[in-house]
Amino acid sequence: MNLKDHFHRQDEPSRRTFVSGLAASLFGVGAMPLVSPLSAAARLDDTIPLHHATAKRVIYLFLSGGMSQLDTFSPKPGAVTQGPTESIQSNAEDVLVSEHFPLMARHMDKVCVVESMNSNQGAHAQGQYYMHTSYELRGTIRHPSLGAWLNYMAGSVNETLPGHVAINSGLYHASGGFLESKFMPLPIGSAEDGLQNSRRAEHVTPRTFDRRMARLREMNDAFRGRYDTKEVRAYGDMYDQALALMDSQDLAAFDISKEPQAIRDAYGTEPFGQGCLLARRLIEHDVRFVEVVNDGWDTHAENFDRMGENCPPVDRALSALLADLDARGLLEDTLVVLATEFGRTPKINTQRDGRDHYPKAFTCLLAGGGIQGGFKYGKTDAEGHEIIEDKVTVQDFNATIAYALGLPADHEMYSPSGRPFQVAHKGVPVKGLFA
Amino acid sequence: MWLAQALLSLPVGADAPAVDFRTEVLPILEARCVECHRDPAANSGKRPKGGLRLDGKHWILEGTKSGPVVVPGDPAESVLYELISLDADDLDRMPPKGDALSDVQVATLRTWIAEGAMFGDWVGAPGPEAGVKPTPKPPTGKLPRIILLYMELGEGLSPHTEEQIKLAEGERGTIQPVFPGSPLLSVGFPSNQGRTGTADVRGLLCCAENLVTLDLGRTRITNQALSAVSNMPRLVKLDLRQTNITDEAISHLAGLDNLRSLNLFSTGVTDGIVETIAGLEKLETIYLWQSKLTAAGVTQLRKLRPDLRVVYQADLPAPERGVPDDEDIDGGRRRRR
Repeated sequence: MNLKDHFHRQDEPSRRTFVSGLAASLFGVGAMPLVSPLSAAARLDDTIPLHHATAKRVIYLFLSGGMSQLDTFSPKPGAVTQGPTESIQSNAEDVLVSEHFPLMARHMDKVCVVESMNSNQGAHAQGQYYMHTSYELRGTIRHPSLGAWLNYMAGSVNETLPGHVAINSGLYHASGGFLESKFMPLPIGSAEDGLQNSRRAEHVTPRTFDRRMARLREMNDAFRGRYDTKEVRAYGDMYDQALALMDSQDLAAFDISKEPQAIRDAYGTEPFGQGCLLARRLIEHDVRFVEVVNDGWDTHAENFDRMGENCPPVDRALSALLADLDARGLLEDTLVVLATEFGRTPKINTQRDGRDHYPKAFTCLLAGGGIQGGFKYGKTDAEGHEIIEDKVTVQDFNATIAYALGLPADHEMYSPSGRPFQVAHKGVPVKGLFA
Repeated sequence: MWLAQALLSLPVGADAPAVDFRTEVLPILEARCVECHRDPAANSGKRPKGGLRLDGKHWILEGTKSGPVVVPGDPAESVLYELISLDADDLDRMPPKGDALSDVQVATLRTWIAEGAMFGDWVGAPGPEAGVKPTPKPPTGKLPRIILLYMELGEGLSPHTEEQIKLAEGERGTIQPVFPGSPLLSVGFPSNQGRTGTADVRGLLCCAENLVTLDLGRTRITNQALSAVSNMPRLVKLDLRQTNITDEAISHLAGLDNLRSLNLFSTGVTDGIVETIAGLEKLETIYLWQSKLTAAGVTQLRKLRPDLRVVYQADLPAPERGVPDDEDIDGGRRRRR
């Protein structure tokens, strides 16, 4: 075997790692929730609640590569930095969107535009990691992302589905970090294909299958009897959870072909739109945190042409998602986040007609889940170079999401090496975003 | 007699326009112009050709970036008239596809402009100002409104014991306080919806005073379940989406004076619920998409309760259409002029 083949082999998940990965993602249930309702209810001396969730679930949309703020949700009409992208009035008085978001222009009354995002990470991997975990990428440790924190701290809701799912996500996106493997997101490669390998193989009859599982149990029971430890029990539980999912009436949540064609068309035929539709189906079934990633925003060259290609699928998917959630009454307690690792330079790189990395001042969106819609938070100067009001750091942004979910920002969790970590590092929630 | 009345109600005198916009001009615009010159939101996000929209009074009068296309009273100065009356083989002729407008149609538009381009009561697609919501009052930055409400509603109530909550949860329920320390409870049946029925709702009665949110979405409850719900005076949010309930269920809700949000998405309720709903004074939002209410019922509800947010339709984007985009050609045309 030559070296290349060897690496190919390494990329291919083996049957065993796949099964255990699937099982691990599903086994998120038995964990004792940290925010225990009963211990909390017993705390009568609190006059002001410490944690109060306005959102139960999160759909986290990540535009990977660095979304240009000026060409999307923070246009600066008339500024020399704006380039050829025009802007249109949205249905919220104070909010303009770029010409590439005519559909979202009808839904900005549901959205809070955070125009004063600030990061200190200017490279993709580092920026994506930072955005997801609130910590800097290091060689010695892997931090959990928000979805893992949520399931770790608040427990899973649906007993047969995983609490954390990531659609089309990459290495530096959602992750379970140093938390137990059960907090890892269940990866979905393509929304169209849904959850693979979740059905009994056709050539195995139910009887054969049951017999095999019984035999497995028999063999395991002997082992378990001898080594009755937490780790050994956890392994058996993984199988039980995977089996529960195979029989779950909620398995259909992964199958977007069950949606009426009109709804599928509304989200658009692009993978991102179908991913958003799958995300909606999953949160309807009480999956807590679903991330959908959209690639291709690294527009160093031909920024303006590429905006015309990149934006329409996102415009369509996001507006369909918000409209659909709203009409189903789910936007009240579902937080929709549109995030990216950094923005792009207001100054146009004239040689390549592009924009370069710009973590200093960029834009993210929040909608639903108790967030006040229809306004802009924070301000940049007339050309978009500097934040002049209400800076929101990456940690603050994540602390705000955690606050919406009722997660205690000050709770310290210890990594295997004994170091303390918090859900949004040292971020301070921006309470002025909540209705 | 009725004929005389009809005649009397017609405009009379020299000022009466010979061309009626709605019956004579609008059909021409709709058949030959609006497909390309309309709201991008109604056209899969495609921008109107040449930056011109002809789907609303505001837009027709606004024209393009280079100026108006209709000058009331002056067809000769009106670009719209000029373009439709060009020779059939002229590249700039509008509409660019299909036959030219007929002589009669061109004459109708000419007369309409000459008579002052009156629209009657027709508005069409609203201008940018209409439908734009004013900037909301910035949040106080203290506590979310819903939490303040829960603090108020919870005053004087004592929390339940662990045993009571276990009992109420039964085999399928999940009960949590709305926030740590609050006696108010939030109830759902996640991952058991298909097995949850009316008996499970009755089981909640021992905590009835303390329940503020109740999620029965996608469960198998019947109308009778709601008679138990009528004993939950502090209920703020009730989710009945995708259940088989009908009007009878809603009649049980009449006394729920604290209800803010009611989700009836994809249920069997009809116009018969309008009166009961209108009587729920604190209700802020009701979700009725895919219910059996008619447009008339919704209109009546909105009339009775203008303050209530009635979500009756999903504002989903229209599906994409496979029309080739020849905007650049159009743009070039406009620039050459």
